[in-house]
Amino acid sequence: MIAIIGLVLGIVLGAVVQPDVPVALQPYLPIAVVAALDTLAGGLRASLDGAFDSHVFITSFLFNVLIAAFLVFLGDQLGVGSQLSTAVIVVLGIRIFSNAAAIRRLLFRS
Amino acid sequence: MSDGTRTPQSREQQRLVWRRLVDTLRPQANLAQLIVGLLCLLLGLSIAAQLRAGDDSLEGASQQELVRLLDESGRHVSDLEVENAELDRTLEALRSGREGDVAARNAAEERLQDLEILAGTVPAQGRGIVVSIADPTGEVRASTLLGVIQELRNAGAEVIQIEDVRVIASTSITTEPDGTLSVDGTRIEAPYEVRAIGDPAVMEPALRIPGGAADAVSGDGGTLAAATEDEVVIDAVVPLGTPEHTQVVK
Repeated sequence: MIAIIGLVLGIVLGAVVQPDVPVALQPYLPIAVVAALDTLAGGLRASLDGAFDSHVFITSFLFNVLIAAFLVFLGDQLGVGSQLSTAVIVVLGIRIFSNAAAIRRLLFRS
Repeated sequence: MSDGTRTPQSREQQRLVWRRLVDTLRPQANLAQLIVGLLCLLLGLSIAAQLRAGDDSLEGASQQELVRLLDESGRHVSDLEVENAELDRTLEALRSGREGDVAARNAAEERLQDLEILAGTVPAQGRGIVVSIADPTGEVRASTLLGVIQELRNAGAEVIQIEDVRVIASTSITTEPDGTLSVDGTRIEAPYEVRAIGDPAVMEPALRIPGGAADAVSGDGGTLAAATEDEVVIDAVVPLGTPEHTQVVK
């Protein structure tokens, strides 16, 4: 519940304050957001499985975000930034979909 | 990725899952939940920021897209430069055309002035001489006066006026039945004053050629005196008649 409240509060705060994304972070933010969404979906599924551990959730949240951003950074350094971003997005997208499918199966069985 | 997840088989298991969902959604004020909420707040914040930053169309554009945009704008620039050059040429053409028009108009105006002076429709002034012919006996003939005019013309007089009558190409000098002279039908009284614009240094000696105009006047019993003036004003004009039968040959 607190997670949902935090999410809504964050979006409202962002819309009101309109923070400027630092230029150095601009390429990584979209990927980090997708990674965080993936972690969120995974956390929901784990809690429905009864296997939710907040410590695991927090560490995986931070790690996923950092790794996604690092991959994009690495791709930029190697000159394959856009391709690697696409690859990360695809993988994260697949994970989100599979997590969503698992949640759906848990809740509705059929 | 459903390996870790067991699909609930029975109704009880299903109910358990739903209870877990309710448990998850119920607020729990422990530290872990607080941190999760904080992370989600950060996530929402960055989503909002990203949505706003996404408005800048060039930020997320790929390299190929940027190159294409650059190409496009370069093409656009060169197109505009070509158009600019064309417009410059047009402007130049128009300007030179206008200059040509102005020159033609100036030439036409100059020509009009010359013709007006020649036709005697406008007043004129300039360097010239004033010839005064005294005729105490009243015997100066029309032909003698005409001789004076012809001599002045030969000497390069540009504009001539006798008394108050402008002398033009068709001017006639006649003798009235009572012996007085008339120019273009206007009677003139002695002494006759002839004003002429031209080079005085040429006209005055021309009148004094032995056997010339001055001598002819003397032969008729009159006297001719010519005075050089720097500013001879000729204010008599003739009205311009419209040619009735004549047309300009194109």
